[in-house]
Amino acid sequence: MEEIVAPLLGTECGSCGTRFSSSTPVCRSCGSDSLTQVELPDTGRLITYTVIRYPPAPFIGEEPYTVGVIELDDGTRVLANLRGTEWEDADGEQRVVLHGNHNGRTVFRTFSE
Amino acid sequence: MRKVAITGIGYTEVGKHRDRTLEDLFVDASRRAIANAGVDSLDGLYVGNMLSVFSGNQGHLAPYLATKLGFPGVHAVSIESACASGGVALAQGVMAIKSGLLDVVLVGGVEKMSGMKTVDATWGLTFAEDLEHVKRTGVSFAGLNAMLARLYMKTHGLRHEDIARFSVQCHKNGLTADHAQLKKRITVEDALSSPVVADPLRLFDACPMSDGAAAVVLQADFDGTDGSAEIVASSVATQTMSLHERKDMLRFKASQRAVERAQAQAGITLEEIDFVEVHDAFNVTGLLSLESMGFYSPGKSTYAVKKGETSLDGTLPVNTFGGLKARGHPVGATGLYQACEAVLQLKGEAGSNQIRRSASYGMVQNVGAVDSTSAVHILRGPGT
Repeated sequence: MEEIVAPLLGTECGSCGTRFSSSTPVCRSCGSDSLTQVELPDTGRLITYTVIRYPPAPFIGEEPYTVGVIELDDGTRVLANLRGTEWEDADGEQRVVLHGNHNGRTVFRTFSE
Repeated sequence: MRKVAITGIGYTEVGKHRDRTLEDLFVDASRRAIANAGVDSLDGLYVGNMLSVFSGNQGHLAPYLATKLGFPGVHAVSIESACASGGVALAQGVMAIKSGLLDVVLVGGVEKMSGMKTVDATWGLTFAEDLEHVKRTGVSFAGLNAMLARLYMKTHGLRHEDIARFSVQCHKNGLTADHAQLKKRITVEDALSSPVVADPLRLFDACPMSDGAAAVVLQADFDGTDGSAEIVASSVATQTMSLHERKDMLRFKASQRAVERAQAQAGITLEEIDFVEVHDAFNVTGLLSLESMGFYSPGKSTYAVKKGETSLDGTLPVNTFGGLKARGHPVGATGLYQACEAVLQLKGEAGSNQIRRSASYGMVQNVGAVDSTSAVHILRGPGT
């Protein structure tokens, strides 16, 4: 199935350069409110993950699915889904790449797939 | 500023109270606390609760419960800080007394989880996290803690049995705790073979879903000379809301800050703390709490548990009545259960759960989400 990969968008602080993957009206690093939308890198390393088997009500029927913390190559952290549920223990070096990003859902996969 | 002490405690058994209402539980615990304190009236009421709006379509708990309790005119406030609601409510009550605003205050916490189906309870608990990330990924509260657990074990070369021992110890203490929800012994093997909740966390790594209410009466200018447990420090701190955004995900900065501020308030060191009630929503959060609070260095709290240092007859007894794991976790009430249990220890009324060393100072730590909020209190025993 072809996944739609829209650019991964985030926010960048015009004052200190810190980037965030979530909605940010004020920079929590320096307090500035001069934030602009930026395109984030589509690759990074997987820090940790889990497989959800007991979903919150709105996600019933999707389980099991994987959620992970990814550090993108520019240092920005993002919480996203991961493709599949058979993941080797993440050792902080597992490289991942954006696989799908649309309809409010973001999915990464391993490079090797 | 004035002194403040807990002059009365009251609590229900923790469990699945399917036939009891939220207000029923709250009034029960509160009336016990009021009777225990021997007071006739209150100036103020602070209520801690997380999900009554969602689970029972009941909001505005302050006047609602003040009315049900028979005190419809008092200064009454509801507090919601996810799982830290109770501890934060306690901090508000302390502030009201110390500032001189009020003289006799009841602080109570209550939660009724049993009315909800699992999927709804799971959804409700995610309200502790930034909705944006829940909607984006379908992550659950257990899922957040599972990611934390995987990272913790990987970082420090720990195995599952190392964190499971914390749950085993909690259950050991829960065995003799009258009000505990789970009064059964478990082994490390039981924990390792329990069903997976969210990899790598299993059922016995997690606290149960619980109903219950606990309350304390706070009074101005009472202290140890009256036989009361004085609250000598009260601190609420926060950190970056979402776990994944934190530079060091293993550092509970909110708890660290709250402890530092509390120590400064009380003028004591951590070595003087005789026991601690930590927030073990999952065994890994109890362990990380001990480390971030400064009792053990990173990765080392598991060894302390293994060596028995955190048992009732150890050098730093932890979760003396079973903690969230065995006593249970009626979300908004937990912070008050911790306070009640600390008072029992400090007054020598803990029965089979009494710590062997003398109890002069106790610390309680109540956390919201994964250390997004941390409410820490230090209590001093009457004999001190």
